[in-house]
Amino acid sequence: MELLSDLAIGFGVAFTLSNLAYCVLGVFVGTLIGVLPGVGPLVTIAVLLPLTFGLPPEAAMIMLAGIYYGAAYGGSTTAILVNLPGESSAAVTCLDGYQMARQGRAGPALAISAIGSFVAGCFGTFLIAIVAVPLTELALRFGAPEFCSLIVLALIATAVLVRGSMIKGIAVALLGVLFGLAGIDVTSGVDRFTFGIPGLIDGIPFVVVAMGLFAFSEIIRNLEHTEHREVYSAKITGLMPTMRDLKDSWKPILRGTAVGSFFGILPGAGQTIASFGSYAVEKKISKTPERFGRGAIEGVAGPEAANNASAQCAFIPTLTLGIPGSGTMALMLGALMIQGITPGPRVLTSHPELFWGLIASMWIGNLLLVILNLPLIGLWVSMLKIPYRWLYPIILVFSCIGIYAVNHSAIDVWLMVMFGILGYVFLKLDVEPAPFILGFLLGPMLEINFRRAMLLSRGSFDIFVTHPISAAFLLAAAGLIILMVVPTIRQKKEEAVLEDD
Amino acid sequence: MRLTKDLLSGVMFLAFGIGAATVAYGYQFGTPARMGSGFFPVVIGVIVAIMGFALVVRALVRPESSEPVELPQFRPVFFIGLAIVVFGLLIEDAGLLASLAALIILARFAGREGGSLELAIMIITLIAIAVAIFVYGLNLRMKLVP
Repeated sequence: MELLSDLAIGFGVAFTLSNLAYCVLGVFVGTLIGVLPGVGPLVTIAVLLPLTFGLPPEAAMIMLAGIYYGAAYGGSTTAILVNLPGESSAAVTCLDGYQMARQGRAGPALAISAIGSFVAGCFGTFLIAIVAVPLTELALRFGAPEFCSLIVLALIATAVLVRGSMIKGIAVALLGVLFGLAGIDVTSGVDRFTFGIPGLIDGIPFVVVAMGLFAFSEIIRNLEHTEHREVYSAKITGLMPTMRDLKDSWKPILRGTAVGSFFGILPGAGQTIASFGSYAVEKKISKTPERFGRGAIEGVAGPEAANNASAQCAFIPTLTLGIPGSGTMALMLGALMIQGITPGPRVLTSHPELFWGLIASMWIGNLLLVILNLPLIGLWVSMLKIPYRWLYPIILVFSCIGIYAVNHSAIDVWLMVMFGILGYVFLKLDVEPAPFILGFLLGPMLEINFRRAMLLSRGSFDIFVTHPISAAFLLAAAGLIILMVVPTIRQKKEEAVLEDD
Repeated sequence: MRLTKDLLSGVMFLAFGIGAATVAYGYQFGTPARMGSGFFPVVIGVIVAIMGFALVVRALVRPESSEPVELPQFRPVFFIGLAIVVFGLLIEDAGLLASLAALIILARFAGREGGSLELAIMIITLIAIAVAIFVYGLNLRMKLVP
């Protein structure tokens, strides 16, 4: 049983006192920031990323993973109590969770959300542990054409499935690729797109782009719209769900887990589609669909499980292939690169303790969420009362120090303003920033593999279709584009990813 | 002419695409088998420009397919941007304390609420938290005062 011995290594790493402490700290801080209305998970991770700079790679990833689940879970709490989704995937939780809160059942809604997330998290972690080894073995056989096509698939999937038009999604992903190319071209040693700015020779730092694009524009968006919050906190009395609640929820949790795992593995599909998909399934098979939207516990249990399952499974392509499927995963990958580790299938063999330690810590992190969150609910509620005029200076202080700390360079700080303004323009023009960050991260990899493949084929593009795996990836990408051109499917997507912010 | 979101994003992509392709055309182009450093960025730039052009054409032919752009409010963008720029100017010479204070004070102008007492409390608490976490907790090398 190689899996067991691998997991033993992992738990050995994760259960050291210091790593356990980083996991607890990550989950706690992640939830603390994630609860704040108007601070989404991407910004939470971007802002807290500098906290991990001085740590060894394992500890850094364990803490970031904790922040990641904490932020996701905190977002659900806000969705249930204030009806403000921190990110689009929590928008589904608002539908029935907030209604439950208004009926004085915030406690059971939060508890079911925690239990559902935990069940889904356990399954997701288990799935990662099982598929990681075979998938990396497959990926190790990938050559340049396969990687090239896989990156194209990941970019197209993300671009096509985000809100808004497909052309804009693909264009912004490619724009990200262009920005990712800035700096020294590794093959020829020529500076590209540096415009004589010395700080750009090593490329634009990833943290700068992430903070500018997400944190800056999120602050501006929140300042432009005056806030309206109604916290249903006075009525949190009984936390524990009744037997009836549990009986109503366990099947939706399992179904949600299945739906979420499926969408999580697919590059680009992500949590939003997973949670909306699960909600649609529950509503369809329910004997009383009219209860949905009026506080049906199934409408919280299923999507919350789906959300967390897909959040876990999103680690599969990120860790085994080095291809992130979402903006958040791109950040995790960026963090890995800051630690000096090249993401990809070789991580499993070159850093087994990092890989298995992270997997073990995922399970521990999910357990901690249940243990920490329910008793600390009072603390989260008090966080909800912090006005935004206090929050944005905190985010700014963390972002600025964090950016400056990476290279001790003021130019990086100014670059962040530039990307912030770009993010603001994107916001005004309804251009989604998530494909941009993915393109930015994958751009150099795409170019290197494209060049290598074309060198192998002596300049013939046939190589991408004569290699069967590469052809399959491209076919999948083409299929996605064709699907989105079909009007009825496009309409379904618009319904599914509609944000009500 | 209606300034719709699609029209302006098309113009943006067109400009970025043409700009990138033009700059990259100055690098060595090469052949498909032996690409120079300009090949890939030129190709991507051209594709971005074509997509931008397609967006512009669609927006001009069917202006109703996209919403008009909301007018931006310049106050938050200006003051948040200014606050960060000034932080960058001060951090190297004036030290962390002064640059954080400037950051927080300037950022305050981006919003419209809160009194000066609150601002003072905020400056003191935030600087204390930041120094505790980054300088003492994480041991980042940063000087506090000039």
